[in-house]
Amino acid sequence: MKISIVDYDTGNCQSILNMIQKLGYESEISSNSEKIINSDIIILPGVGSFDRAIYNLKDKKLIETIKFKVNENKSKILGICLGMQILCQSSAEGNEKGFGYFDLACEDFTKITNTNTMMGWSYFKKSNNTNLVSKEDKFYFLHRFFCPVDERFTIAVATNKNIDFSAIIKRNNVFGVQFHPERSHKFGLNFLKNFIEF
Amino acid sequence: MTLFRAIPLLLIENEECIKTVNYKKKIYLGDPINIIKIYNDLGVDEIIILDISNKNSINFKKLQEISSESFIPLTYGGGVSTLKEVEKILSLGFEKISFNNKIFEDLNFVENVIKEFGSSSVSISFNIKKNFFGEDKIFIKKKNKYLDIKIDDYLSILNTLKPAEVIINFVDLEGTRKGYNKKLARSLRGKILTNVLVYGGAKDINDFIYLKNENFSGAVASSIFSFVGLDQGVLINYFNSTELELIHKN
Repeated sequence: MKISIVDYDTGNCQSILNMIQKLGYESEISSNSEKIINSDIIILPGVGSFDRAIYNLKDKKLIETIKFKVNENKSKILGICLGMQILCQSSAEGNEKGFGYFDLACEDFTKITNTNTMMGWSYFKKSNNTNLVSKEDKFYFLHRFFCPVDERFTIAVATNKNIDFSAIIKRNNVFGVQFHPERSHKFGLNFLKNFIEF
Repeated sequence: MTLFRAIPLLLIENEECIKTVNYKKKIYLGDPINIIKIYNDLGVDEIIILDISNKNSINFKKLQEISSESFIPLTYGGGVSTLKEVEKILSLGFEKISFNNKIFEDLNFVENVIKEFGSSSVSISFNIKKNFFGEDKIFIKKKNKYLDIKIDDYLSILNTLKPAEVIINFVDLEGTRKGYNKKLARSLRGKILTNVLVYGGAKDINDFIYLKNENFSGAVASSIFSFVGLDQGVLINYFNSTELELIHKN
């Protein structure tokens, strides 16, 4: 099993790589289409802004590579934080179009009265019965934009003030998490293991 | 809802972790990478790393090493003065940049960091120290002088700035383990519009529980996470799972 962590200059690839290697899987950080095509699982990290993430992926000619892997090869993909948001249709953060695997538009917490950036550790408000996470798990969140809850895709919900948002979304082989598994020590490690083995 | 955070703070000087008392007496703790690895295994909520080497350049190589060894959220502070440096540190995987003196030196720069990278990337700490007359004043460590501004006026600057969090740093208590200045912390807390944390003087778990119950976002400490026993020998430690539950539960 080979896991590619897509390097498109917007993410914290190294600690994701270290975590996966700690789990004993073969993994590499890459922006090379051929290497990504030859891997079994793709991880799309993300820190920064929506439009810049899309520009960088376009610039590195990775949009088609990722679409091919997900649509044709049916490879599993995991988007982390902004990496999850770009798997959606669009975001209030920018004008670019996302991959559209989830027909969701990401919203801005700061446009909602008395709500600010979500920052810190949180349990889920509720989660579906999957093998990915358990009720006792807590994860580290740091984000201003969020995916709304949608029954079709949302499998774990978290809350910022009184606003519920999607903490995990899934549609067939496409997975997205709003939290940072690479910054959620044992809980993150466990989540990545469950995702890889899912 | 996010959980209350108990955060170890690491001071780094010339690539070594040290601990100070009132920022004067220095005790060697160990190699930063080793200490980060221990904190990782202990599952700490977050780590703040302050480089006090007073050099003109940031040790990016060390920061990269620290970040890749860490599976917990990281904040870095020390000598950050350009947007390029901020970008580089965030791209290495640090979640936040901590500013203290910069607010007085170049407020415009901090505003630009927030504008460019978002408020969630910025943590502001400020120092409170008693002056000769026993009055609590804002203190600039770097220049060893008190700031001629009322605390309330300073807080309104912070409230306009809207960083992700503000850390109140009690200089006189740093490294003393006498307990946080809860009364003053509480009164300042009510005037700050963002997440508020406290540093300086943590005595034991009760300090953390108190702050949690008073709606602070977290508490920062270093002595209690660095030393143990009557002789206060160096041993990197953290709360156990039962204690953490007391701190985290709402």
